[in-house]
Amino acid sequence: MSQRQVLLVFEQYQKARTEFVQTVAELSTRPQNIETLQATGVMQLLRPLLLDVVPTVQQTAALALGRLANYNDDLAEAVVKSDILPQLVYSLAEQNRFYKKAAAFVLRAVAKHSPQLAQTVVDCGALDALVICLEEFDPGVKEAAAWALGYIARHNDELAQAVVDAGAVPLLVLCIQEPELSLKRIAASALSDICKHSPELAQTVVDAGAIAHLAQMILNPDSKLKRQVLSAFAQISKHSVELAELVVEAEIFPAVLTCLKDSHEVVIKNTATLIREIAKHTPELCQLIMNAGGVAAVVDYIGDTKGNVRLPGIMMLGYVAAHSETLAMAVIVSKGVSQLAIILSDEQEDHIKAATVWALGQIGRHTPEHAKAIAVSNVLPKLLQSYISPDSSEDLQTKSKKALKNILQKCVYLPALEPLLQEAPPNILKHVVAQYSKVLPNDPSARRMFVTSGGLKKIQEIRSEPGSALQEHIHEINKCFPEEIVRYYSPGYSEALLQRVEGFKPSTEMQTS
Amino acid sequence: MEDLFKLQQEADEQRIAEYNAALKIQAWFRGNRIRKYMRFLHDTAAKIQSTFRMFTTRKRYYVKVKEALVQRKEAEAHKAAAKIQKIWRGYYTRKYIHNYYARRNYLLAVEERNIEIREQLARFAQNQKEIKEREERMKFEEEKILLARKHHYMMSTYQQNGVFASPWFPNTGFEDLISQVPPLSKEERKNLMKPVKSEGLEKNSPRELPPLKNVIQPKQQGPFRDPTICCVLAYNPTITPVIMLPVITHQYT
Repeated sequence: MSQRQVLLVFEQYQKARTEFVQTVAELSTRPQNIETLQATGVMQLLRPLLLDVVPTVQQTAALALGRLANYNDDLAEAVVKSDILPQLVYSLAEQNRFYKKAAAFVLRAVAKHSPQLAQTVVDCGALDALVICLEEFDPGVKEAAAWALGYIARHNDELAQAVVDAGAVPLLVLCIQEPELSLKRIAASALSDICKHSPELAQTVVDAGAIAHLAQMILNPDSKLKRQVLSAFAQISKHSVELAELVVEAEIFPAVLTCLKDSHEVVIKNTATLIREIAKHTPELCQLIMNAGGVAAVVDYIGDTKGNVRLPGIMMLGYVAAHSETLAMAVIVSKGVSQLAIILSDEQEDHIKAATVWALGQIGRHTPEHAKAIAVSNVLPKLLQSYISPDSSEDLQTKSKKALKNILQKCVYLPALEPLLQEAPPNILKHVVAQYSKVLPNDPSARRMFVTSGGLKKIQEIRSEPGSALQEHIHEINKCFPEEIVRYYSPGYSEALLQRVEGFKPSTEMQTS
Repeated sequence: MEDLFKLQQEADEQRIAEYNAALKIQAWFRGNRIRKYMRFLHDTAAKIQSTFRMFTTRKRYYVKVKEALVQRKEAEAHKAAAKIQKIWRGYYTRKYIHNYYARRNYLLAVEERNIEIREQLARFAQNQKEIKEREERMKFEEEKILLARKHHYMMSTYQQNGVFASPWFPNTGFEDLISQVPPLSKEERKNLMKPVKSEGLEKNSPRELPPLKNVIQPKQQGPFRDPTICCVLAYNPTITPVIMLPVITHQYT
């Protein structure tokens, strides 16, 4: 045969391979095709194509493999079992940028499903190759490598430590400074995934100088970038006081409060999480947030949003109020209590209600002034409802009970205690009665109100064991009033009176009989 | 005889009376004298006792006075110390432990700051909204202009009203827009039709197959087509599934 015919055969074969690989890659973008592909054993066919002579075929084969592995973890396992990973890692060092991107994509797709798969990826020596990719010139390659590293570090502590040991962190910090937006996003997300596991990892990231660069990006208008940056900050500051202080020293307040007005809910939620993690640690940090106007911004944000998005904000208010009574008073001044009361009546989810109830308890437990502020906003009956209602979860009931108890022990605002007197179960009632027994001996107008509102009647109707604290308090209250009125309101008095009426023989009747 | 007896009796009685009188006088006198003496003795004893008592009590008195003085001084010192401590404690607590006025000022400052921040954030949110709306409007305008440029050939002519200038439908201004904007040139139209090219992970266009290197010798003798054209024909995906083979001549070796 002529030379040209021989060459023609090879051309045909090349064309066939290329078409096959491209079609498979295209088909694997759609989920419904993937099961069919899996059934036909596409993995074995694609594997030798990775070693093809033609670079395009290699790249497209890698791309197809990546898409398949991305779909579910069985396919990812199949990729691992077919022993493809070492080959990929080896060629990651050598080939051109398209291939590197595709190979990094495959590694990412395999590593994302579970820690075991990520561990296999690491065991093939992928980390060093990926870190070398991070030093590349092309931003697309860096992005793919950073993405893969982020997914590996996401799962657990050891994997994140392995990523850090491979020297990825300084390169990721360099990536953040690059002008390409997508690269910044991915690098920030990878750093966030590394920081979240332990304080040492967070410290490593901070030592690489990440905080300053991340802080600059907070003012970037892109929402997805802000989301990752805020998440990274939140993960760093949650571990310890020193890290939180470092984050705050980067002068993110008050600029970060503008992120609370972003149009994307995830950005708002991450900002609130960040502020919450900072506020958790010490009163000084809370004071800093307060001075920057953070509490007002958070109160506004929990009023504007709905559902799970406002949960970090509610918890933040609770943490701030828990530290000291000045901070709790400042939360009250920032209209926190009225907002929390609105949330308590609006929300249906139990865990959000539980958080609100807990926050209210932390605000009200310090002094009578705080308790009065809470009582005035008509929250106590709602707390009682949450405690009593059979629909509330266990958690909500425990939290309501604790909050109610803490607030009642300091509450001397009697008009708010009256509805509780009517409806409360005995263990709450004893606190209410105790408060009455503190106030009534000293205040005559309160005593008058107490009688006219039916409180004295209710007190007499309470049955309590002799010798218990409740009995003592009731006794003390009864001592504040004249005997006749106490007897008048005691139960069965009308019966006793009527019996006396029956037994009474008027003198005129006697004479005639 | 009786006179003698009477006289004797009288003399006896007188003698007895005189005797009793003398006795009385002597008794009185002796009593007086002794009483006076007793009185004198009592007085001197009293005087001695009183001087002695004055002496001893004065000693004890001075001791007691000294003690009382010491105690009074101590009591004064205690009172003065209590007053100093009272003033100091009030001052210290009010200044450092629970400074009511500092706390009140702090809470007022917090309120002011909150108002400021709320205003700022509201302005920021408003700003963002406006920017977004402006961008959307601009995008919308640009799309309209692009559409007008694309539909240049629908413009109405002198003879015939175009679709957008139909007398049966209200004037939307699209016709005017078409007449105002320049039509698309040939390159622009081609650029529009071309799919957006993105790097790397997208499917490579079949037109971009790598060229076959040194496989076909150029400038064959004879009635053959240009080899590159043949290549393109061979790999043209619109021709399915039979590959159009380039014309081959058998070379008899």
